[in-house]
Amino acid sequence: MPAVRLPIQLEPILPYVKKSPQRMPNACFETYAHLLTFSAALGFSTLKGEPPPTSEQRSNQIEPVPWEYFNGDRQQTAIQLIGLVAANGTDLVNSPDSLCRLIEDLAAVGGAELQKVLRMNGDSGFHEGVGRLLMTKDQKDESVKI
Amino acid sequence: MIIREITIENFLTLYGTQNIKFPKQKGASLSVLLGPNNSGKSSFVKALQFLLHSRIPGCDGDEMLAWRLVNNRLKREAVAGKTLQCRVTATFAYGDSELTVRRSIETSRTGDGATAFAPAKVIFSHRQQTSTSSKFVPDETGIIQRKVDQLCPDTLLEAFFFSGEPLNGRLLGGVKNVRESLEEYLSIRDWKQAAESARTISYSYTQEMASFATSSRELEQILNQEAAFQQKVNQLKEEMAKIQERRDESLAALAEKQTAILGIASQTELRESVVERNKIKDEIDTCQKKAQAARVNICEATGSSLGLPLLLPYVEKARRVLKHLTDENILPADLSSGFVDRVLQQQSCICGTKHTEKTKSAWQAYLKKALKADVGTRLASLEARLNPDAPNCIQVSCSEISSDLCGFIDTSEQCNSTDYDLRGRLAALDEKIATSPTEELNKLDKERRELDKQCESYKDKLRSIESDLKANESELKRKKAERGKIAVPKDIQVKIQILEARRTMASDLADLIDKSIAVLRQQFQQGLQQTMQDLYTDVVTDGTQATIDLRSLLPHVVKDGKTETNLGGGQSQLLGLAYIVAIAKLRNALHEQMNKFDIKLGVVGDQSFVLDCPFSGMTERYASAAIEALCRAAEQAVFLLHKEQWDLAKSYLQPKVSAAWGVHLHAPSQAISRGVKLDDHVFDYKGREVSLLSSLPPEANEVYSQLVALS
Repeated sequence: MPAVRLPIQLEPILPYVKKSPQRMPNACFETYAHLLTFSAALGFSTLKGEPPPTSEQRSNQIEPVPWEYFNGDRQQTAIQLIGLVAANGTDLVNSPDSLCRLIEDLAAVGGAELQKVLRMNGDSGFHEGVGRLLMTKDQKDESVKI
Repeated sequence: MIIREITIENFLTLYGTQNIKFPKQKGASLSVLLGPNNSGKSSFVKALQFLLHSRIPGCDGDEMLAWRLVNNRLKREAVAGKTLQCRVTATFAYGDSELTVRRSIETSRTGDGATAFAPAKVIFSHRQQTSTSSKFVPDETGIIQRKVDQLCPDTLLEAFFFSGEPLNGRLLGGVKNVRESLEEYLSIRDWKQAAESARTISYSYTQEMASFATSSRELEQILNQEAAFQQKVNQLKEEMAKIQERRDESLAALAEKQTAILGIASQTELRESVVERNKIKDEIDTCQKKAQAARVNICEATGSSLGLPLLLPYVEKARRVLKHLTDENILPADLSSGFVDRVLQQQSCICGTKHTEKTKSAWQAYLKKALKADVGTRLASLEARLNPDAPNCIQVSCSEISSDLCGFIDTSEQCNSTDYDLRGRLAALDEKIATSPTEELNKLDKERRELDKQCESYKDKLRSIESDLKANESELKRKKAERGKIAVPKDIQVKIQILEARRTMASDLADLIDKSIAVLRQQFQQGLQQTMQDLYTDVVTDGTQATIDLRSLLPHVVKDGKTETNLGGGQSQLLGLAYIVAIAKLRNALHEQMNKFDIKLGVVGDQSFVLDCPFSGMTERYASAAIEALCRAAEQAVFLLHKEQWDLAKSYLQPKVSAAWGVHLHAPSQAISRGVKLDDHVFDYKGREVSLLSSLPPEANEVYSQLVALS
């Protein structure tokens, strides 16, 4: 059965998964599958839709997450959208194995971004930092106050 | 428990035999005992405390030193070898019964010195009535003392018979004993133990289930995990209950310290600063709660978004790809290679046209592009979500996520900034109070800060346990669901089902006990709340309301939905009085209820209250409200008042008083002339002036008092 392995870049973010044994009080992600999906979306957005570099460094802190754990409605929306756009067709979405590899590689890029957020905001401000990434441009206060 | 009659003989300042018979009447009976300062009014309260629970003031709990309680004049008059005795006797009514008890101190003079007395002997006895006579019999078996304990428990003694404030002013802060008394009544500790045992049994069933499942490695693994999560959940629940209890105690102690600090600060210019500090502390608490809620919301919105807003720029491209698929008839399609094979095996196509090489290769090319069935369904659902006109379209969802996050982050930032400002102001006030010249205030303030830190740490711990508990509970649920999907041999399945049914029963029992405790608490809370409504909220005119906290069962004053931490003397005393009356009513009602259920706990009846100088720090408004409250709810209240308090309360109290006595002070003339205000000994009672001071010859050394009837 296809499964998604955790990129090493996501290791520092594991305490922000609610089921993690070392969970932080401001843990945001319900499961490891949620963290991987989020990171993949962030990686895809960071690369502006370009193909991710192939990375083989995987974490052994958690077991690979079975593909069936990515079954939620929003999870599938994000993953299918990424797969369709990345391949400009159905090649990726039609092959769960390829889609898993894509998610892993994109999550590695997203993981590096999340590490930056963690460095900038600190442990206690991580959730706010991630939240700010999600605010659409018109909602971010970018006005210059004189 | 109502006092019918009390006789005090040579106890503390009261010399000779003093007897009071309280009037029997229907409805509230209010009596007053008027007396100058230091005349011995408090001896009356101490006599009751000594009688009921052998409280021996000033003797460090050493019964042998109880001779100190014998009246000084009697001691001085006694020659060596003479036996001295002081005693308190009272008759109490409860329900339709009466009980007469006596506690006496016996000693003898052993020499001329002021402390030359033999070790005292304290004897507790009760009146035994025969058809012809009655006599006092020592309570050797302790049965009568147990009866007294039931009528007025030791923990509530100073709630019903007190000087100043009920329970020495600890009522609004650390009334641990009231809570413990209630919890003891409810047997909360035993019930909690029963719930814990039920949980342990439930856990042992899970372990037993795992031991049966050795033939299926997967099932065994899941059951072991389930057991581990269940144990963790149990541990966390236990830990949470303990920390909640400790937090409540710290909070109560903190409130007590704050009240004490306010009391001292009121005498200095620091009152304003202390009041301001308490206010800021409340604001910080509110701010933290808001920030915590915002944090939970941000985490929830961020995690559940799964990064969809980041993908918004690619929606157009995805839609184009999907449209292309639709144009090529690939979407919506549910084609399998089996279906294509079947079509090609036929001589003609499904449209009726005969197959040619061209159509055959077109079918093969189409099959290559065709989607797997599940992918087809998913893409179809993605297509629906990308449609901007659909109600659950991705753009709308993302816009909602972003807008929610914007609001939550805004709130969080505002809270952080407010919290920073408030803490700055708090630090400045802390410094001002800490550097105050009052040593006692400094000491109390240091203790308060320690308690404050303790409370904060308990709050943090609770938050973290709560979230751990939630996570473990959801994991446990998941593991149970996973187990349901595993195929196991029939015989093991049956055994596991039986064990699971037992486990469910044990676990349900534990939950039921927890719920029952909660319901009992709620009943208590509602009962107390109702009386507080009648006695506090309905009689005050300052817009405040009294509420009872569900967990601690302690009273609070609330104004405009916020708990008031800076209570004035009048407010806190009225709240305290209302609370003790509520407690007494609740005890009576509970005992009656239990008797109806044939659980013989005995009758406690209505409660008597003896209040020594209860109006200190009260304005006329609150004093009148307190009298009104007691008049409404107490069957018997005895006010012991000095002149200042009598003058304050007279216009409200006098019309309601059914009996009055004076504590007549006898003092040597030189003691009287030494700066004593003579006016303080003259009371205006029902239009006549009563002097409660007599001058003794100069050679008399002792000051003593006697009771005189005024009505």
